[in-house]
Amino acid sequence: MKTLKEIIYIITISVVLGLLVNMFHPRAAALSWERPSPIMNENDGMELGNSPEIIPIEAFKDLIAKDNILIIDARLPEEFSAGHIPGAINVSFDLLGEHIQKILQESRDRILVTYCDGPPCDKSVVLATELKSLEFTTVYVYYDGLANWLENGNPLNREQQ
Amino acid sequence: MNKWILLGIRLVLAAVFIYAGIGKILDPAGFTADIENYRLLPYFLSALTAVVLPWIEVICGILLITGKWISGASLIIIILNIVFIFAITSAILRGLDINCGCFSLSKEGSSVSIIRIAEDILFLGFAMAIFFSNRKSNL
Repeated sequence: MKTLKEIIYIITISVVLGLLVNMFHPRAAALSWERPSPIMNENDGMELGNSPEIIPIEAFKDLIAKDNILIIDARLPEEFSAGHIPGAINVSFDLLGEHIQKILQESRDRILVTYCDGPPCDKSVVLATELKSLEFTTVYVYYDGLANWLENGNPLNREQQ
Repeated sequence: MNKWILLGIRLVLAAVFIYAGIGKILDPAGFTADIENYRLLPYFLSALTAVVLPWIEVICGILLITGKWISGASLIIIILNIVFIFAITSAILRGLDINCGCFSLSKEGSSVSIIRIAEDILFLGFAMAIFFSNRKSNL
């Protein structure tokens, strides 16, 4: 009984302290039922103009139809090999340095669209933000990602890059 | 068990939990993302866990050092380590290659792996030794 009381005290103190500190924390967790949008806003200290735009599957497919698009898979190479959106290239965020020269040379005037698994994966957003900062002007994020792509009955490619 | 060994175990476990807790307290948003990556909890519970859990770790660590409420603190650590072992094992079994979120202070995030499970089993053993020897001395 004494142990149970101690546990209740410890948890109560932790909840109070945690919630209080989170109210004033610069890196506070957003306590909401819905996950906040991953796009940076002014409060994150990022310039709004530098945020990549998130697009839904319909807009993504319109872009694919225009043929001037470079689809970038932001997941790990082994995940890419297991299946990816047809036509995509793999630029795992960790490998950005190795791949960037190739992309820079070939794709300056193309529309870049990044994706990963879909929420909560944010590698696509991180990669797109990085590409924007490298002065690629047209960068979109297909944030709903692979999960949404498959839900809509679309195919995957399995060949290596 | 030798009381000096027990004291040593208590201090080591306390240091580990305070270190782990402070790292997460510094970045609740980052820790929320780490928990979400496990895909075990809905968003709200992930965020709430990220806000509260680090404080539980730190407070339990401080209690282990001061010698107050040892029974409650060590039982919480036992339960937490069982949960951690379950979460990491399930992430590995589902093939998730994610940051473990164990020690957010580490500069390089440590991925979920067998080593993380081994660590948690060791801490679980430490906490059980403290809990049961404390009960015995109170009887």
